[in-house]
Amino acid sequence: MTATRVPPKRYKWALDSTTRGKPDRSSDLASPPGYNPSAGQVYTEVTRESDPNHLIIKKSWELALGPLKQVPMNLFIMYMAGNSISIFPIMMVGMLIIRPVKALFTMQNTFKMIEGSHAAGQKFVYFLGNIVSVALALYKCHSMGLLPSHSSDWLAFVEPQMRMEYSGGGMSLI
Amino acid sequence: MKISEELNGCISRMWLRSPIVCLALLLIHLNLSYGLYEDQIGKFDWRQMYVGHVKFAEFDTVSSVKKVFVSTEENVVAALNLKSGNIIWRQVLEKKEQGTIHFMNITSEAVITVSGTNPVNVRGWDLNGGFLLWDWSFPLHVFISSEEENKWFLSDTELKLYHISLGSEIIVKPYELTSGRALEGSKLPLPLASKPSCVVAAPYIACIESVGGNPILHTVSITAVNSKPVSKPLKPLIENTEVTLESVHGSQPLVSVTSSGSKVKYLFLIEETGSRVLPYQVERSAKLVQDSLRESNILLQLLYTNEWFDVLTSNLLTGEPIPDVTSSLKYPHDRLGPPTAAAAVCTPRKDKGLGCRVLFSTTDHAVGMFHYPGKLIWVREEALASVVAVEMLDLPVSDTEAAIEKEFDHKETGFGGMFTHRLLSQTLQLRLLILSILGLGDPPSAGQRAGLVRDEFGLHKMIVIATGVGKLFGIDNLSGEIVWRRRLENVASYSSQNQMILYVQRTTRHFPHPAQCALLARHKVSGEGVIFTFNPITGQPAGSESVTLLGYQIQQSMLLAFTDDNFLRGILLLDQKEQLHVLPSSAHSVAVKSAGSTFIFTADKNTGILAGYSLLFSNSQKLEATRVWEVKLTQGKQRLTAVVSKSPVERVHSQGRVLGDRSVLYKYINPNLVAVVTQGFDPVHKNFLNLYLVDVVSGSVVFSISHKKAREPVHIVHSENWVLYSYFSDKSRRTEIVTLELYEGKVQSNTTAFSSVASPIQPIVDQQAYILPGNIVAMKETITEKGITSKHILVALANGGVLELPWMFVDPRRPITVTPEMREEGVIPYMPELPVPSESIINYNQTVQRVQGIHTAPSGLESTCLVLVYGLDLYYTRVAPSKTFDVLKEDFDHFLISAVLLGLTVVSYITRKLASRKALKQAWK
Repeated sequence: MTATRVPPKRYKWALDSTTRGKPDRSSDLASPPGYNPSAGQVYTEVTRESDPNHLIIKKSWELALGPLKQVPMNLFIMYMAGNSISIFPIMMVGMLIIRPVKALFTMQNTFKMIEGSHAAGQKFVYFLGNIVSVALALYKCHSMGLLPSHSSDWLAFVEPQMRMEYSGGGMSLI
Repeated sequence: MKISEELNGCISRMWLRSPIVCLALLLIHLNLSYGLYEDQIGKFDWRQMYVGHVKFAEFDTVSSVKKVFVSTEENVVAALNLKSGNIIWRQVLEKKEQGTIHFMNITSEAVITVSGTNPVNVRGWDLNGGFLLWDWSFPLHVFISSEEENKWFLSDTELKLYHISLGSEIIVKPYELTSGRALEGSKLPLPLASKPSCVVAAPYIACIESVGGNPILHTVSITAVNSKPVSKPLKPLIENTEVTLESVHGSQPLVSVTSSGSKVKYLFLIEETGSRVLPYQVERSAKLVQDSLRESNILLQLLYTNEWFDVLTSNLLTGEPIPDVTSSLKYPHDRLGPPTAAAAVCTPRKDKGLGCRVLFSTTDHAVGMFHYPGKLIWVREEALASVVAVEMLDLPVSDTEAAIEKEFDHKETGFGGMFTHRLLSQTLQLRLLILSILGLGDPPSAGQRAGLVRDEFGLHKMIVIATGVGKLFGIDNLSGEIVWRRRLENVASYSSQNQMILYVQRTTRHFPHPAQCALLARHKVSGEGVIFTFNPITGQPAGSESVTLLGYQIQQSMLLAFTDDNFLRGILLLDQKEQLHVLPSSAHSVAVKSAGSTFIFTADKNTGILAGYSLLFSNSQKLEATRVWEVKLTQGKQRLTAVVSKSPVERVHSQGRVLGDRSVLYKYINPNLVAVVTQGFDPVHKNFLNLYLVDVVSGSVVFSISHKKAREPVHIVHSENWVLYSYFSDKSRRTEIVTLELYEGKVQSNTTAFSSVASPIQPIVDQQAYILPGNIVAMKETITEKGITSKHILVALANGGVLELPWMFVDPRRPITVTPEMREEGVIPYMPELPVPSESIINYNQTVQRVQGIHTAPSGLESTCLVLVYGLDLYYTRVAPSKTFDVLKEDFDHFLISAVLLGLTVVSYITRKLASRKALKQAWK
């Protein structure tokens, strides 16, 4: 990227000083070997992209992709934490879950920074990234057994069965 | 991850290698020690020791500390304090026939007892300490089992014990008292024509017989060599041939003779030369007793008429009354039965004259001491040594709370009515408050004054006890004091199981209706059923003053499941003709309403038949029990020995059990399930024992199991979804405990209702057997209000301890090979032998003898269960199977906590003030 960024400026400047005879020359003379007239057109395109608007979009994309980029890292942390319930894994899972949830809640503030033509997509990607993080954290909770996802977790709320018949008696008293 | 995995692996290997280590680890983790701190001794518990119904009594006339020795029908020898009636020492002999005491007497050194049948034991007990001085036994063939045919005589000058067997001829066989060496015996040359009735009037034997319509009194000395019998015709005095001869307990050889129809008793003093008739007669109904002191000539006649207990003291030889001592006393006839004198002693008092102490026992098994002239000194309620039924009831609410309750007891009257009612009741309460402050209010109720009101935690209860002689007691559970007692006449327990049935018809919750209990028993003579309803808090009868005769024999009984408008539950009775009755008759409509869902069953001990009855065919006129099923569980000589159903007040909180993979195994909680035990003998398997789990509504046998070479004692505990039973294994000669647990499976077939009839389910049964190093005499499970607290099993051991055994230890799911899932589930690996740690003995060193049963009752606290162990002794305590999780610890420092809180609040205020001042100063700078 940096290599392509520098030459256009030089060319722009060079273009100013040699504009006059350029069309004639190009029509009269054969192009020197290795010269490609279409190369300039590429540069003009780049020129168009490199305006401040383009920078904003790029910056926004970085922001939008941030959560997704953390996913592999989170996966690694999750793997390292293990499934046993002790203070460190709990803390890690807590962090995993709190960060994306916080991000989701402060999404309005974050979206203010996202501008440009791709804003809608970026917002969606950012949201998606956070959701993926939350899902991952939930999966971790599940595998650690912290989610009430089994029937045993609801056992305390099971009502006793109602008695349909009443019986009594015992050993004969005669 | 890696590390934890390795650790897990290491643990699992360790588990496998040494289960003991694991168990120890687990024990440490679970902290299952239920010991008591030293300062808690006697704080939550009490023990009352009893001796039983007095059979023989002797005053101590030898040792310096005066006491009275008694031996009882419960096979107990004891010394009682003369002044207080407390037990100085007590020795409990063998159970049943082997410990039956035939004779007791004292020498200058020891109390001598003769007990047992096969062989006969002669024991000497130290007078002061009660320890065994010597013990020897007779060979078997000497003894003829009937008590009438064997008489005993102790000669304390010669130190010989004479055994007199009254067969066709009278054989006297002396033994050396301390060594038991048999001396040469002799035949007494009594000229007897027919079988006489004989008594021992030491040192003579007196026999009476009728020859040709003339009663003749024969007397002969036991001790003298070549003694000549002397016969004396009673012709001028007594004409009647039906004569009764009684020996008068005391120092002189005195017998009384009375004939049927005669109003008087004649007294004969026996001498070497023959019997001498005394020149006076005594009333026939008088109980006679002589002064126990040697060389004394005092005869006491005790006359009991309704409310008065008179004593006539006279000179034995002349019949002249001794004026000082002759007096009458008011007898507490409402709480004690008619008395019989057991022994008496008269001693000169400091201020000239004579003082006599009379030990008496009553028909209702109480024993007491009169002092003449003077008063009743003490009474011991020995009926409490034969408890047959127990209930624990909440006490009624206090007067102020009752006033509040009144506000809510009226029927719904709409918004306006409720509002005015509220205003009225609150003004009333305000008025009461003001009046009570000024000291003008109504006096508090009797219960309130006695402190018999419900406490916050429901720990204060009333223990209602029915005893084998038909005496009811109300005992305060915190102090152990008898609050009320009521004597019922002619009431006996059901002979088949020696039990009476005590039903709680209404608890104390339904203010203003008082609580009501009913006692079902048998009439002593006719055998028909009797019922007595009473208020369990005061002991006052609810209906008639005494027992009500039902007019039929009770075969089976049950409490109705539903209450009537007055919150009273009726009692359903099945008589011997399979007719159904309901008591009180006002509960008839309730019984009819619920007839479709009511079933009653009965198990016949002799035939081994279990039969179930349905009430479905009842109509509003008549209740009818129709036999709907019948199961015969025994064959040949097998016996049906026990039927155990679940506690009707039990509640199960958790409907399932969480497994290692976090799924649920649902419990099979069938409220109609009973455990039935049959025992028999088989030439191959010797004694065998079968246990059946029978659904008594449908009559289906849900599960059955058989044990070879197993015999009694069998004890069963049936609760929630499990059954626990113990038996003695003949093969390995040890007590084994088997547990069965019933599960529905991973899904509940019906989540809302349980029906035994509609689509019955076959439960999955887990079972496991354990060894208990000890002999079990009684077992019971703990019970709590909501059933959240884990269950423990209380096991009364023969050594007098009561063991609290966590259910976890006898869990049938304890695995032999430990899998990670099992470990996840939290079960301990299987070990056959159950631990009996001494800190799990809930009665620490308060040994309880001859336990008959254990009664458990929930308290208001979910964590706490109240326990009463009964038998010869009463022992009350409370246990907390899951520790007291719902109360603050006793040593909780309320003061420190409140001081710290207060301090912090004060400091925060001060610092706020200081901070604001500083901020102000800063602002001015």
